[in-house]
Amino acid sequence: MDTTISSECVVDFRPTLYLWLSSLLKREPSPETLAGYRSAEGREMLAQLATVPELSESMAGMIALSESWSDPDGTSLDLAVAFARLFLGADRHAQVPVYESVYTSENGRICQEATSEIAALLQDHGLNADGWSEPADHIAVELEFLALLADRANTTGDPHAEQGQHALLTRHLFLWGPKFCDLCIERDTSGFYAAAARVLKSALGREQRRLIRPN
Amino acid sequence: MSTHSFFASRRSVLKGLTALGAGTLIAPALLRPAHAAVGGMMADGDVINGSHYGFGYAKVEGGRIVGMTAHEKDHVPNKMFETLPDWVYSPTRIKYPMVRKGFLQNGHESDRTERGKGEFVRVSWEEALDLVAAELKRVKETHGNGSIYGGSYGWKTPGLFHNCFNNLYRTLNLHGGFVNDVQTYSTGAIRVIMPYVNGGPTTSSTWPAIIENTELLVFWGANPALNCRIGWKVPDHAGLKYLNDFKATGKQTIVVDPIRNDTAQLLESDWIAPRQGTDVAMMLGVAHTLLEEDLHDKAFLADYCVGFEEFSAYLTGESDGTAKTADWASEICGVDAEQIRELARLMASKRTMINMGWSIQRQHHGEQGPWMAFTLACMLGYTALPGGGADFQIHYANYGTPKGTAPIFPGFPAGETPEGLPAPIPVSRVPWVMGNAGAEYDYDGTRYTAPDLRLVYWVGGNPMHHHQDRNKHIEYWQKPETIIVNEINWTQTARFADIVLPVCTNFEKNDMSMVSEQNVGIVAMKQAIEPLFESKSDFEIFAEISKRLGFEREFTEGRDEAGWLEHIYAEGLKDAEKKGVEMPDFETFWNETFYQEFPVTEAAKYEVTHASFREDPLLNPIATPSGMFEIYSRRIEGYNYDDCPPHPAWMEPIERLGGAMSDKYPLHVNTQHPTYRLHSQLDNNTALHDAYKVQGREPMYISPADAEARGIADGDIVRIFNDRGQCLAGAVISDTLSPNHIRLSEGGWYDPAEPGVIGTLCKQGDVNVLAPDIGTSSLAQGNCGHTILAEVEKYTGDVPSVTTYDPVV
Repeated sequence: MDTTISSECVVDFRPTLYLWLSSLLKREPSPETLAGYRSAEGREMLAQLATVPELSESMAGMIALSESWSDPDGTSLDLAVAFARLFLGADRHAQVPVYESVYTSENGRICQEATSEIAALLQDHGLNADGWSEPADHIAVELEFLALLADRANTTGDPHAEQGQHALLTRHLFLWGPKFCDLCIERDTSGFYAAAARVLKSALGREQRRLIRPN
Repeated sequence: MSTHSFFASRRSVLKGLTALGAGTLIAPALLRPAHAAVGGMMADGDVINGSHYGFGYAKVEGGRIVGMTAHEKDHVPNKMFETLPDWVYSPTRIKYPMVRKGFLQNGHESDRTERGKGEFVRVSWEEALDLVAAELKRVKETHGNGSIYGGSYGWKTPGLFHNCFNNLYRTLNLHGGFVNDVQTYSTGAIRVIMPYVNGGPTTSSTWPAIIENTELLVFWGANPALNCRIGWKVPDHAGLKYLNDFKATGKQTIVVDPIRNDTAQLLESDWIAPRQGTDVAMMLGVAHTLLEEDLHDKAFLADYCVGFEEFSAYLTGESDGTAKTADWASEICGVDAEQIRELARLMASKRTMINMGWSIQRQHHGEQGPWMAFTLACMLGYTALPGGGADFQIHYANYGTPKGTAPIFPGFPAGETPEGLPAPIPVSRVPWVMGNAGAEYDYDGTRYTAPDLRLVYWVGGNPMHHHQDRNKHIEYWQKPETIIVNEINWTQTARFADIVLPVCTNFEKNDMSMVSEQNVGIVAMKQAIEPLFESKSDFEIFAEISKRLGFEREFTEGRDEAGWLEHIYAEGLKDAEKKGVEMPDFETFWNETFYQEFPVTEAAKYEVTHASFREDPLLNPIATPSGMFEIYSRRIEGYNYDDCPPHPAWMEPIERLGGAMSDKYPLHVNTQHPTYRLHSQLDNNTALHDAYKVQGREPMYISPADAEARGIADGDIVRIFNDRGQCLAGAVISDTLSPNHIRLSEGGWYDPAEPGVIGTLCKQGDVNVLAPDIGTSSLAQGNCGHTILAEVEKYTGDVPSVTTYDPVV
């Protein structure tokens, strides 16, 4: 039996982890958000995630980084520049596409089949991402979706939610998530997004092992 | 599973986080119950639209464009139009308003050498628009409207309403005025010189008249098979149809060009290949032969022209001691003297049309080429006869195709620029002016002082592509305090700005456009998809800026997009009624027919320019000082320019094969229009890259002999360089190139190895890193983008990735 599935932290850590990563990749951190990392509660959340064996090393990196911040306003601006370089196309050298379509479509375009597929999968689970200005196959959408499906599966045991996670992981996130993480690790010079990518990459690796050897 | 339980579960997650006190690490939810959909997704179906590449239907499925179908009235559809979805969905799209970090911190006192280095921060639309309005106010109050450059320039959308130039001009005019530009990068020299000669650069005859009457068609530095694929308005590609019709007649064509170009290949033309930039010398050799062998039309020259006497004194050498014989010409242009003589005899023997491309005037002393071609045509005597003379237009877009009976649609009004502002700047001198406030320059007979430009606002254009000498350009570009750019894509112009506002494509807004330069129709450009990300139309952007500057009502006149479209159409309808042209009402056009054709009359099919002058020169004079064709211009003589004499003449350029600089740089770089782009537009369209790019780089065509001499193999990455700059490209060995010429088409996006650093290697193949930034002469101040010598070598260093278009994944 997968110890992580049976452990009490299951209910907390996967939805928490993916919601946190989704938020982090959704937009630039404000000084308040950065202060949250330094709060007792924020430290507690990060520490709890670091107790998951597969995440301990990558989370340790994130914790060490967040402990090094001393100027929330300055760090916030620097991370906004890093975010724009990586995810908003501001730097030709450092771009990391945040859309599944760019990784999986023939000519590396945005808004291709993957966008429609995620929109359909969301619809299948009674959801949409239409209120946001980004396509449905944005990494932040897929991660929030995963968090919700995971939480629902954990709390209600609904098999449809488990199937949804399976589809989202095997037909989508596994296909491009690791590459996305590798590019962040390679191209981020701020350290923050590379650290987050290491956490995400280890989490996706863990998900893969979980699906290969379920329970 | 119900939505309710799902969101209950989401709350449980958040509750857990809140219990941890870590709620600040979690942003508000992106996802929501499906029933909360805002709607607004565009319906599936085929949606009509138009572009510079043609018109037709976007196929929309699930809110996405999945394909394009050309309209049945598009005579020769092309791949650029078909692959437009690739452009719409390019990862180079600008998603949000962005401000350069240094500018956000220090405003107009920022370190401007940081431009182009990628230090941007996303801001809200509110913040961005407030900042733009504040800068426009600041510069006006501190330095005056004469410090605001708003000329913009570039290939904007062909739409009548979302004409971004007019949206910008209207805003700046309401703000008190701005400094504009004058002329174009396409026709910088020809549009200034030809009014002195024949009243203006024109088509000589319409295509049906050419097909019927022309016996010999000479394309001189012209390539209609390529350049009729695009249009300033929405093309229906009738020019290409007529070109094929001419081919079907079996009549002789000659292409004079260092490259056996697309037209020569299509028409199976005879090919004469002078050294690039020496056409005037070659034409003088032809003219001298006509004179020497008494083949010129003396009656035509006497009855319709002034100044042939002075010109013939120059031809014979009487005025300067050098006879412009075929042998003299041969030394300069490299074409065999006997071939020059034969060409003269052939042209004199039958009705000849010389179609001169604009390449010949986009070089040092570019005024001389068109003037000389027209003079040569006058010597032949077929000018103003059906299918004869010199033509300057049919090589591009839909010129020479018969005009439709369209009413006038004035489009979105730019408003009036108040008096008292600095004069418009010849467009290719704009960067120089930015860097040289207070310096004096000549233009078209007047001396001007360069204004002190503090704020630059650019829409619908890409100067970091189209301007010459990129490295010098970057230096000049650092002078203005504030640079604002509205853009669809992260072009280098956007990257070198301080404030970048994202604009949606023509598929994300509603508009309409005239079809063809000859106005044979009007086509609806209907919105097919929602604007991507936070992009907006220029109208929305400038309405918001106007609001902040206190003149929103004057800007919008109380109309929204739909209101303006109805208004613009109604104005056309009014003119149609006056002219007796049939047109449906707006509702029918917009919702049912989408395309309205304006028929061509029989008379319009056979138009011959200056025919009435030829019929009666006294009653129908030409719009020149003498009323005649001017081979010698007293007015230009009066300017006393040492770089633009009063009759067409051979003027040594700053560099050429067999002339200056050729010992150091033995290759001439031909920058002809690209095959799969409109200048730099669509260079980010990777669906087309397979057709032409080499290892992701701009192709550099080279002759087998030149390649062999340098150890270059087909497909190699090469470095092209001269004293002005350096770029990489991918070698294509081709027998279409004459020796000592290479071709690197303009429009490849600048991709600096070290962004923002002057002199850095362009990794992709932007030919303008190699081109000189000089005016053609004191007369026209056109650009000299074709006057380039360089050397090329096989690139043996570490090959850097091309990063200008898309993220490398």
